[in-house]
Amino acid sequence: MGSSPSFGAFAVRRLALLLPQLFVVVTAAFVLIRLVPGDPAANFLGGSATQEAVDQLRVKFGIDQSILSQYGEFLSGLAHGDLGTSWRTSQAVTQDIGDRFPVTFQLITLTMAFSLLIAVPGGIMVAALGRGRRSRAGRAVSRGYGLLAGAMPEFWLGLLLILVFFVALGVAPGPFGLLDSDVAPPQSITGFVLVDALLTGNLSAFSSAAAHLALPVITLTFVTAAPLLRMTAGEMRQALGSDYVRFARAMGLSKGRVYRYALQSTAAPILTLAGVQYAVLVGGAVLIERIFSLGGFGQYGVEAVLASDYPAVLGFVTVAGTLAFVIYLVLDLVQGALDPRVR
Amino acid sequence: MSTMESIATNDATAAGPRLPRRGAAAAARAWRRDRGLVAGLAIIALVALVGLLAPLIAPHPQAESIGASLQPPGAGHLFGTDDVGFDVFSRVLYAARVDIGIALAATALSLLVGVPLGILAGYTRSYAGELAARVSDTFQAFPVFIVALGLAAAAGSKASNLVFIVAFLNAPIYFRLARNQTRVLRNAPFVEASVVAGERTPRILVRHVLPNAAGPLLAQASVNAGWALLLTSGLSFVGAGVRPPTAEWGAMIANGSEHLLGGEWWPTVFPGLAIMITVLAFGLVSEAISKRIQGVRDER
Amino acid sequence: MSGDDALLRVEGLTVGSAGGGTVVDGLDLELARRETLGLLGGSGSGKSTTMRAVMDLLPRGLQRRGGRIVFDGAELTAGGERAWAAVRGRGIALIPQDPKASLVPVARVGPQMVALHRRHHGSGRAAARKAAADALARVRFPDPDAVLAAFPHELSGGMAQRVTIAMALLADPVLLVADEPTTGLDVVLQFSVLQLLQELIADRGMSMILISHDLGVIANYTDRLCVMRDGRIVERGVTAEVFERPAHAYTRELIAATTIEGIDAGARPAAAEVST
Repeated sequence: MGSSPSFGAFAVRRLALLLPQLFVVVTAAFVLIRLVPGDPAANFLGGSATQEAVDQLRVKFGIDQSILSQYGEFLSGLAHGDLGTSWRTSQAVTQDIGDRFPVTFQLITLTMAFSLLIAVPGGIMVAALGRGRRSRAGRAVSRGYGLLAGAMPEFWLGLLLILVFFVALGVAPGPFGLLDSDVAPPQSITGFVLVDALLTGNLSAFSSAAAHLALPVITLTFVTAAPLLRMTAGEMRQALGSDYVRFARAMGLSKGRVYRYALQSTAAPILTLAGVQYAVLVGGAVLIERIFSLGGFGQYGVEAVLASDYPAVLGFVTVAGTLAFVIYLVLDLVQGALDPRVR
Repeated sequence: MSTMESIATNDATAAGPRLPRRGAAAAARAWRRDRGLVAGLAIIALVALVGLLAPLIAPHPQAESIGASLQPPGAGHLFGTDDVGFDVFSRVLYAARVDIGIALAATALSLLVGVPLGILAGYTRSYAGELAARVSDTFQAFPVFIVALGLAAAAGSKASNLVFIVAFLNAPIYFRLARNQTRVLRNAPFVEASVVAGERTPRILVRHVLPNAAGPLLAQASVNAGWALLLTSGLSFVGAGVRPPTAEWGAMIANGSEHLLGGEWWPTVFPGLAIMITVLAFGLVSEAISKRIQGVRDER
Repeated sequence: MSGDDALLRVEGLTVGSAGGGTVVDGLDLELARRETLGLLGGSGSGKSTTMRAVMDLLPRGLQRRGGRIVFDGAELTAGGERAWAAVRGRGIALIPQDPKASLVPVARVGPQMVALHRRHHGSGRAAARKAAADALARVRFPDPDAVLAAFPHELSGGMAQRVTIAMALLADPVLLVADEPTTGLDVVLQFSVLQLLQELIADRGMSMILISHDLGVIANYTDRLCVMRDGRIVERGVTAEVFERPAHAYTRELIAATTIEGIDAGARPAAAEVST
């Protein structure tokens, strides 16, 4: 009888490769930025700058050095947690990102949480409709929703929601940032406004932030939940028609237990999709952040690119890539924990 | 942002050589079975046609102010006018050429580059292919929009640049898909039989591998064409894609959004609808193809 | 046979597909207590579908259109879902055709068996686990604990089959339905599985319905049999008698195609009828 490796062995194997893989990821980030044609300094100063000014800037920012030495500086900076200094804000890039990341994190985490809350029960319900007319209707709705949500530009959806709920109905706050201008931000403990507001009992800040996050979260959730729902419905439907469900039912196990078995078997692919979507949301919530002026991580990246702020762009891409890599790693581990066949 | 491009079907449809189609009877069956496919293709064709014929059918020129700005939809202006006084309806029509043109061109280009390389890499089992696949896997972790943005910002706002950028970002997907399909098909009995029978490689590739791999590739291509459109409009929305006065749906939305808070909804809503309908059509086509592949597989 | 003693009585069972076709056509069946009945037929004969209908576990696309099913005195077809729920497991247990695929892939064997025992006997976890280990020992596993800790994909086909038999023991049914229990097993394993089944049902006084397309299995392990074809029973009777003097042409074909004399004489089964 063959036996699957224990989860511990599997985890160790995956984590052992962590450092070398991280190294590859940050190198890829560096290469990616360098791929972009043009001279960063010239781009930053714009078309009307003199050659002299450009050259001065190059020396000042250290990009007159050879590529290899720049790479070396990049790596050594990384080892110290230093991503350089932004050309625009003159602040450390790590500081810039640190200031902006919490908003993005709250945005995408809330999005993912609500997406799962809608998609998983929804998908199970669609799958449980069984056979006949109701089932076909349910699947048609799920399919229609999937197609629609995938076809809508999310920035357009966000604007539509602003139009309806702020301009027309006046029930949502305007797209002017995370907090109302007359509300003071809560004392910073974790850096996450929602959490800090709760911890310090600052209800006005909490409700203000929550209200401002409502439309962005709804927009992203609408788009994110769709593929999750379709996948859950599809996987559950398959599971409910499988041999092991048939056997479990034949042997008299309760419906609840049978559904639990089916859900257990489908947990891995569903969570994988959710994880991939989460990783994509890190850089993918950009336009929503911009529309709602949330001042997030993605928005920072966009502004950096448009201004040709080279270190900021490099820092952003490095962080985003590393984050995605870490998320995929966690995903792998979770998959290994849930499904022994994967090990 | 669509993640569908990374969740592509990777199974091969291998079970045998393709059957030839049979004329009108097949077409009638196709309509009954694949209403989505026909509807989707019809919409895409319609949009492409509109784009092509825009100069002929648009009531007003795309970049000439006809007078009052921010007029709501009404007589003479089906979709109203924008803040500069352009007719929104005409601009929506003109924008079709840019948007669907870029989407189709970029998809075609990345197919033309990615698929042959992928098939070759899969068939010859070369290490270079494995390396290329691994490298492209690594780059998949990076936020696509920002990378596209960086490339677009650096390269300049021309439609042709966008075609190359989107094609460049998409080609690895087809490379990987084609390679995986080919690798699986390579081991299929009917391919082995051809090899043993002495058929020459190019012939095997064209007659056996390509038709069987074509299904998933086309399904993926259709989804990606829609995704290319969303990307293009997103880039233009932030100002890094196609720039005014050239009409482009995303740029139009950006322009319209400046007046949204004042209640003037039409410059924002209509271009977005156009995007949605077109991408929806691509999605319908892709789904129909996928369903067809599944159905064929089940029948076998 | 006196009607009131029958453990299972099926009258006029008709099962149709959603597309309109008929898979089982007005079938009548009787099973006595402590008896092993064979259902013999090729693929598509309706034998598996019949038993699925008896447990009310028809797949999507098939529906029971008519008929009466009485089990152990209770009329299942009149009692609704409750009646069937009472019968599944405790009354009728299944030995599935593909045992590896019939076990939940992401859970270990132990929890699956424990859940089954607790469901039917209301036992505590420890007691259920002990019962599971005992059942595994009964089906000749030398190391029950190892099996309890294993995942289904780690088991071989033969081992998985014995696990499902052990699970049937845990449910402690009156009727065992063995659906092609020897598929995918080599000859030696087939023999040991069938021997095991025979031993267990004799031990506990169970009845068994043995579904198979394999004449050898039916001939050697059943008391009576029904030969099925195209959703109907074409011949029934005491196994030994039917094999000695087959009355129906189809039965004769089946036997001729697989006995040595028949093959020597050049007999071939009608193409789509018999599968081996």
